Amino acid sequence: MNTVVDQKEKTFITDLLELREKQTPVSGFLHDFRVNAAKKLREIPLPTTRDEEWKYTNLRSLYRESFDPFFNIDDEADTEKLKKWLLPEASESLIVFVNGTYNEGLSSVHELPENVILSSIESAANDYPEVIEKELGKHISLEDDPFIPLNNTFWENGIFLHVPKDTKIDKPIHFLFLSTENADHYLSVPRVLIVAEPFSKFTVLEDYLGLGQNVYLNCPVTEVNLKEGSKMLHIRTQRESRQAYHISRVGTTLEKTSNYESYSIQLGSKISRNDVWASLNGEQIDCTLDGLVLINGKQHSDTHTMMDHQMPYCTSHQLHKCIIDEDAHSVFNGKIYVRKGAQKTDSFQENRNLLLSDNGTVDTKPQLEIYADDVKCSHGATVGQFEDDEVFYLKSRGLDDDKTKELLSYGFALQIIEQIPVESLRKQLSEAVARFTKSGEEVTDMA
Amino acid sequence: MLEIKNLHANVEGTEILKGINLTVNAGEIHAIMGPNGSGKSTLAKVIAGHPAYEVTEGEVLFEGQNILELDPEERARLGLFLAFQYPVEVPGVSNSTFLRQAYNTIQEAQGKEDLDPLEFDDYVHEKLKLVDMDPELLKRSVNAGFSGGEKKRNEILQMAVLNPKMSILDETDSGLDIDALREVANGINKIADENKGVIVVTHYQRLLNYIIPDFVHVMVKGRILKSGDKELALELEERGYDWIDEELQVNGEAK
Repeated sequence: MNTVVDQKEKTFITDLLELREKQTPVSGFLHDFRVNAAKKLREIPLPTTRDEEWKYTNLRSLYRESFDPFFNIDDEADTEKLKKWLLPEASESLIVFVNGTYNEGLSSVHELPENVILSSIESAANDYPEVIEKELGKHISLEDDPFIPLNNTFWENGIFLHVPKDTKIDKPIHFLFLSTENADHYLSVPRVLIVAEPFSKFTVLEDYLGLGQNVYLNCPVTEVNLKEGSKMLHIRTQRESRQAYHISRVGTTLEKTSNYESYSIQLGSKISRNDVWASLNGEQIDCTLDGLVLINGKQHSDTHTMMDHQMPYCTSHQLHKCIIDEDAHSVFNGKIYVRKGAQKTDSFQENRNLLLSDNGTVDTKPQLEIYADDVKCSHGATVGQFEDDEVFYLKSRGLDDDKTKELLSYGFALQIIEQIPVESLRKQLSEAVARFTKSGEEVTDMA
Repeated sequence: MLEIKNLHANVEGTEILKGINLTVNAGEIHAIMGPNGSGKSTLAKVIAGHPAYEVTEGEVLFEGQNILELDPEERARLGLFLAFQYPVEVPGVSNSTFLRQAYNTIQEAQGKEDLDPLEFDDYVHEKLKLVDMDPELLKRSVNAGFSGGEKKRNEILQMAVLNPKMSILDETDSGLDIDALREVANGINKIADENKGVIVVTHYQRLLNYIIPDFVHVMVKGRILKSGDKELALELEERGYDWIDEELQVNGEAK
């Protein structure tokens, strides 16, 4: 035991904990929240590949690094560079985070309905203490995971979005999480809490964007509570620096007849780990957790999901696609849990991996645990290259091997991208896919 | 233009083609008919270069060049075209982009001018009229969610756009209702001219009411057992395929 503690003392987390007094002080509930999290963070050992949940993702290189907390670094976002990533559809419903903290100056929220609350969690804790105490930290929990307590301990200037009953927000809300490029080796811990009152309807784009190719650790946590009949479209794109570590956690609680549609697109980072929990605790919920991972070089991307069916008459859909090129390594662990009372569950899960090189690695583990007896569940995983007939078809039209591979990879990825209803983002991502598949400008007119 | 000499081909060790001989000259339309499993679709795929088939003997000469060693894309660039029986869906890739890339690749290989997207748009809209196809289908992903008839029209649109010297149409009539059949056949007739060769592979005679073949060949069990003119197709329609096999077996010409 002592040796474990000794080892832990040498990690970046213990270094970070020593710097905690320099954080902006908070009081009351948030203070207790932080202190309890710090206590937990001290206790939980960092995961290794001996832990089942981390079997295929080795964080040794992360543990060798040291990170300065964001409040210790001084780096501003290059506003010129930022412009390129703004979305015209969300120009007045834009929330910008810089290195993990909400930056009011760069944000602009003029086009949101007046009754919508969008503020820092700190000020919300003063203005609506009962809501924050009831919701914060309640939609995400995982024993033995140090990264949630890491976020719980250090986040500052998180954002609280509250969508009142029957409110429909037409404009997508764009959360742009920028990681700056001049500083190096910093820790960023953005925090988002979203509470959707009954029958509200809205779209949130979470965009994790690295402006440079520097080393940093981004460890965001997003919690969502969807109350009766509410409907949320949640698009998450991860385009971090290719030297960065990105370890994100999303927890969504769904109440009866709500609808959650989530698309997660992972393109960046050296090592990324994305855990998503959906807790379906009412009847007639419709939940989608689709994903797309495009990795090459030495990138490593790991997605763990949990679809927890607790109540009857719910539907869930999960299509997780990965394209792996060069020496990249993709991991998928998708668990569908159908509890005893969750009769008439209709659940679909598929993990499709397109392995384009001999050196790439795919580890996939779809898991189905069913304790109800009247359900319809399907799951499957495929790893492979293209179908012979597809390749022959394109080649018979004069296209060579490279072009055929590019077009088919592009098409494979676009199936997820096409679901994104925000045109400018869809175009950005289509171009990113085209660059990945090396098709260049020839395919950018496809969207 | 196309000369097939004693062509034998296997799939997974089973011999499907057992010595095919066929010559198609420019300006000719040949129909290959035969019962299911006779090997006629295999012949079409072998000519186009499908990798699942192994040619064990024989030659396929296209304009004097043996093409059996060539990749499918090289054959396409020489001016060979196969309209698929089951066109493949390519989700995420728009039909117009796919067509333009194929067109420009083949044009470049033949030392001709390629077209930019705007020029190509005009060009393809002209061709759409030939097959009476909805322009909306250009914006959709290649064949994805297309009806059976739309897929077949799309194949003929590709034929019109790519303008091949030699076209092989594999069961283009299957899945088409009578009106669609007439429209697609009219399109094919407009594309075919004295400089082009066409092979129509079909199970039924009805397509040949609209596309009048110069020659009809009957394929059974991997061989062409009988050749004739369009009257042969009518006879097959009336009598089925069994008599050919029996007749020839009695004469000891086939087994």
